[in-house]
Amino acid sequence: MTNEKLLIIEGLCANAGSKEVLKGVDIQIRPSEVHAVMGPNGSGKSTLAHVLMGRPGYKVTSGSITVDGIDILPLKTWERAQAGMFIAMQQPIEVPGVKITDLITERAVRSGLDPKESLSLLHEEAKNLRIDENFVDRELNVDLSGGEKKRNETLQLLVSKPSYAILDEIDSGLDIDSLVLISKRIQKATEDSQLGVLAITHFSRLLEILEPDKIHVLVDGQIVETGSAELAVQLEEEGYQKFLKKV
Amino acid sequence: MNPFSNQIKDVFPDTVSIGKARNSALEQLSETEFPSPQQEIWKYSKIFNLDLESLNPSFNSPDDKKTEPSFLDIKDSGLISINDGWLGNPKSGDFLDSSQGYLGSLANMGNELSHIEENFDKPKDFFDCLNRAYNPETLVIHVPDGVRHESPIYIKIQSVTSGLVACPRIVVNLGENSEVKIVEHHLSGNAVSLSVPVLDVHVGQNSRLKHCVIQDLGEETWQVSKQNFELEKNSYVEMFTAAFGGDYARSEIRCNLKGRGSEAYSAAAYFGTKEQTLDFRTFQKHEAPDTTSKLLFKGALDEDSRSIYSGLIKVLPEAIRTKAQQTNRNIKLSENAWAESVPNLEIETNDVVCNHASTVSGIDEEQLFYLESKGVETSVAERLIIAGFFDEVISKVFDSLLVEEATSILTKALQNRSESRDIQ
Repeated sequence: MTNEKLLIIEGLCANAGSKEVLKGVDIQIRPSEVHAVMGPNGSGKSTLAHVLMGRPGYKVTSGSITVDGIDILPLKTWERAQAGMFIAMQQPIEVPGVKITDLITERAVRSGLDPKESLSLLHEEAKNLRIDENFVDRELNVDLSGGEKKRNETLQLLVSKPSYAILDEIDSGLDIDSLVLISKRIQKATEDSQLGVLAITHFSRLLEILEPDKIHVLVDGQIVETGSAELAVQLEEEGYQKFLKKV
Repeated sequence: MNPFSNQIKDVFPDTVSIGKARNSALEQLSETEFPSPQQEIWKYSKIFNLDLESLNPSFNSPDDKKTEPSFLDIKDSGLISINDGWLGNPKSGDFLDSSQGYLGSLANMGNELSHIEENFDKPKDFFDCLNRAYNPETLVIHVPDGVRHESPIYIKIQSVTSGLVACPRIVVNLGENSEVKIVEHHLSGNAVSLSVPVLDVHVGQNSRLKHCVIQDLGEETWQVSKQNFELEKNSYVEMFTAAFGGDYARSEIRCNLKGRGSEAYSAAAYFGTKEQTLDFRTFQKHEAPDTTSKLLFKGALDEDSRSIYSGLIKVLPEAIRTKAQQTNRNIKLSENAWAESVPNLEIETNDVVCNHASTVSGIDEEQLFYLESKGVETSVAERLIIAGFFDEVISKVFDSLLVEEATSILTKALQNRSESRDIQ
């Protein structure tokens, strides 16, 4: 085992409930790299995201996930987050009565950071994302529009400064301007804080700004093709037909 | 049955009419059966564990110095205390000049106000009678027509002496177009005691009452409390109960919407630990057209604690266009915790909008995953979720002192819980 900075997903097989969904996934992401996972509906993209964070209801049957040399499979969800993983959820969960400031404060305290600094970073990043000041006092994801939820996820990502971020369809529900704004901020994080990104998406638009180093095509729980950014454009034009035949 | 054989002649500072009412309550008490869990209204309770004969009524006003610290103590100029059912000093009239109403003991009230007692029901069940028979001094809050009090009246209600049954009684009478706010703090320290408080409220036409109570009794205290609200035409009542303490603490809240257009909003937050039982019985009775009542009770039960919520919305045939809601939500925080939730509707007319809902569940796994995925450990995520669950009811309470106290008690309890889970 090496302590090199690297997220390694190796031979990952996993079940969602009793159904086998991931059938041997291999991906390696270095700091500052952006990897995109694309694929037809039901190919296992979201399952991959959930399994990486240890969501209840999913079970890894074989393979491994290591973050900077640490095997995270035995870790609980919060331990994975503290090891440097972050997920921006496709459908962020409503948590009534809990504000983003509560969460940021608790996280700071637990990580030995000054909560004041974290909160001032929160306000600064909210401004950068053109999020209204009062937004931070609202309950987490309660009565938010789809776009607001995604901006909220991005805001937390930028404040948490993880090593690796999984973006599970962060582009769904966003208008073009918001999409551009959010992608630019995340792209900047890959430069400023060497954020590694695993972006799950259906659309090449997100990738125009995020400039992926690699595109992986996931079909029926397996990566059937890995290529450069041009692959996303090709997929957008041609769809997944030719890959479906490969499986 | 009267569990106490003591003679009570000349024990209490009664006027002739109070003495008469007391004697009739004593008589009624001796003819009234002690409650049993076979009765619907006592179902699931542990009333059979109460050994009344091991206790005594409070025949002497306790030393004023014998007092438990309360968050209301900072209000030393406007704070009323009731100790073991006896009014602390000052006993009458000191807070209000007579044009502003009357605040003091029933015995000192004077004949010109004696009619207000007619606004209140006669005692009905065992604990009503017990309260009326052994209540040393009733506190009266009377607000005349057209008078509005901005500042709340703060009342500290203590059961300070072990071995006693304390029977505090408060009577609130609002005239027409008047307004008052009342905050009660119930506490008992380490006393092994029973508290049987009764609150009788009459809200006149177009008047508004906001009432909140925080029950933070000691672990050895039992409480059987009753609140009765009568609402006249176009009146408005907002009430809130936070229940944290007591070994067995029961709260029966009856709301009679007698006048057309009256509105009642009722909320509660309760948190049980150890082997506590927290027991709530609510009645939303719609007697007139265009009346509205909304109720939201939320509780969390930890360790071996139990809660009972049983509520009835009753709509009489004449109460057309009634709007009524009743919601009870419970979170079970441990395997052994137990919550019973029994909502009921009895509707005798068609033209109504009524609904009820009740849930008993564990902490939401999805919410837990969401918070944990953002980097806070399970115990902290649970604490945030539970505090957030209560926020809906606590944050809306009108009195900031009470909100602060309820939040602080809850935060402490949740932090203790987090720490003990971290150790495990």
